[in-house]
Amino acid sequence: MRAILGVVAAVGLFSTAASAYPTMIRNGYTQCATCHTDPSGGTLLTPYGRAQSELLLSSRWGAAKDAEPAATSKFLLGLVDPPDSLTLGGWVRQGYLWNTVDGKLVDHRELQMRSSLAAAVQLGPLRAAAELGYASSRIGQLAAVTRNQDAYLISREHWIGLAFADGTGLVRGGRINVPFGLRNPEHTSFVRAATRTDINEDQQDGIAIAITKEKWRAEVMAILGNYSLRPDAFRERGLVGYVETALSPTVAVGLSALATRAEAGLDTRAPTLRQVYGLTARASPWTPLVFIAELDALLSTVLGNRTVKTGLAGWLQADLEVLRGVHLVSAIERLSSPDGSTAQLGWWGGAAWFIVPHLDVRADVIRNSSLGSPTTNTFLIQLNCYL
Amino acid sequence: MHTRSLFSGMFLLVAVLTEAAIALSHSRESSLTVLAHGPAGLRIEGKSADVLVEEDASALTFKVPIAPIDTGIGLRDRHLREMLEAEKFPDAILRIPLSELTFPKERQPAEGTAKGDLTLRGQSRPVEVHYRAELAGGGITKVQGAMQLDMRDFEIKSPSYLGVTVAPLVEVKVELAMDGT
Repeated sequence: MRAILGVVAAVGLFSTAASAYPTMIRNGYTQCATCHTDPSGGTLLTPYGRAQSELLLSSRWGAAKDAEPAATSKFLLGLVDPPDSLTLGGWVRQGYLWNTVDGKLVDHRELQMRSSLAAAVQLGPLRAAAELGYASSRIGQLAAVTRNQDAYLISREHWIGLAFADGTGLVRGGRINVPFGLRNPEHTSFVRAATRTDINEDQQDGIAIAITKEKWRAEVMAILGNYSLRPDAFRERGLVGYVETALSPTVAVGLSALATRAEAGLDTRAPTLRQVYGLTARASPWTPLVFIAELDALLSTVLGNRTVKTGLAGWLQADLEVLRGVHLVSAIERLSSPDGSTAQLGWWGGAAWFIVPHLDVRADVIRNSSLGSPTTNTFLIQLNCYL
Repeated sequence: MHTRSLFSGMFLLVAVLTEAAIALSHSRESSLTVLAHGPAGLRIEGKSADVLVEEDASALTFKVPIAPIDTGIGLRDRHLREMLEAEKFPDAILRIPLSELTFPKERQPAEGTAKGDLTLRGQSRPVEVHYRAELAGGGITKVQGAMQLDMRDFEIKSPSYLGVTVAPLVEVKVELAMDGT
């Protein structure tokens, strides 16, 4: 039963894998801000980012190596041509998954993973961005802007800010992706789920300042709470941030830290201080191959009870581009939760194919095991389209 | 918005090479790196292994073919070639008078800044090159050189592509292992 509950929980988490690719370091891109409107990456693509998606990510189908990106790689296949000050995009992601426990199929279903549109505006130093989407189930409820229990309008991000220092800095306020750790698209990975820093629905409202330099980048955020979460007692408030330095064009290491307090911790139901301290690394020793890793120390303290419970979450992933646009992806992960539950070990194996610009398919097998519980396997296939 | 060449940026470079000086004849191994910078921490690096060195009675001449410079993206390479009009001006050429150079001796590396003339995209301009040269044994001299170029000096407009504009200052570094002393 415990295993089945675990599977169900995992299914719930499998919503959107967003478009964040820390493996772009294979192309010498250690920074995110050139290709994404979010300086820490993972969201709306800039026009330059759209071009790189075609030039560097997708299968080329015989296109000349030095050919310009096709007009169809633009928003809505180029049918709409927004002014330079306006960036538009959107996501349609559908999936299907099967779950087995000890080899027996216990669940299978279609997943409406992401259906949303986004826009960003740039007027002088003014920057603003917002995403609005639809979720047909409880998936995404932490980003909900409506209260209907069967379906939600969701907004993962909406913020306004000012750029400074020739565009290398951005101060902004609103609902923002939490600046912590790797912004990997596998948002159900232990390092994202246990730290509550995925880009599917773990955004927080707050004020953030980001700096992007050639050899380092950093973002710090004052978290004021997730205002999609009710009641207020569950909202976490505190500070979070990361700094990453590029040791070379293809090697980067980073530090992250998070400290938040909630009147009612989601797991403790009592006033709780949650802390996470993480190390990250990205390296591409050979252009087709990228390793990314994250190791997080998890600390949970029920205030008034001075006991600090600790845990650990780790992620090590290899991404091998075997053919242009075709990737084999494998990862191992481990979680020792501060709640004292049995440590879990996970293994991911899969393949992703960026068939044409902004359209990819991905298939994964995720195997999860822990002492005393049956092994679960999740088979997930996704089709993702960026509009 | 569009436009090309960003990347291209790099470019420039070429010339670069230049490096150091030293009176040598043939380059056994060579590497050229051109580094351009863009907004929000964008770094564009172009590389080539083609650096030719010629010596006459009064000067060393370093020649870098534009076409082989590889920035890691084919389109960017094309933008670079177009920006520097590589079909019309296939090489970047740096000429440094021998009188500007100090040559290394056994266990005595030479280091300094030399003035020369760089020809890029048909435009010649005076440049300064910082160099270091040392004898490496076996009749080989190792040379490192570096210079900074301003694209505007060569009447090259800073490349801009899809809203990303490259800064006009470009760094060029060269490493050579050459026969001769």
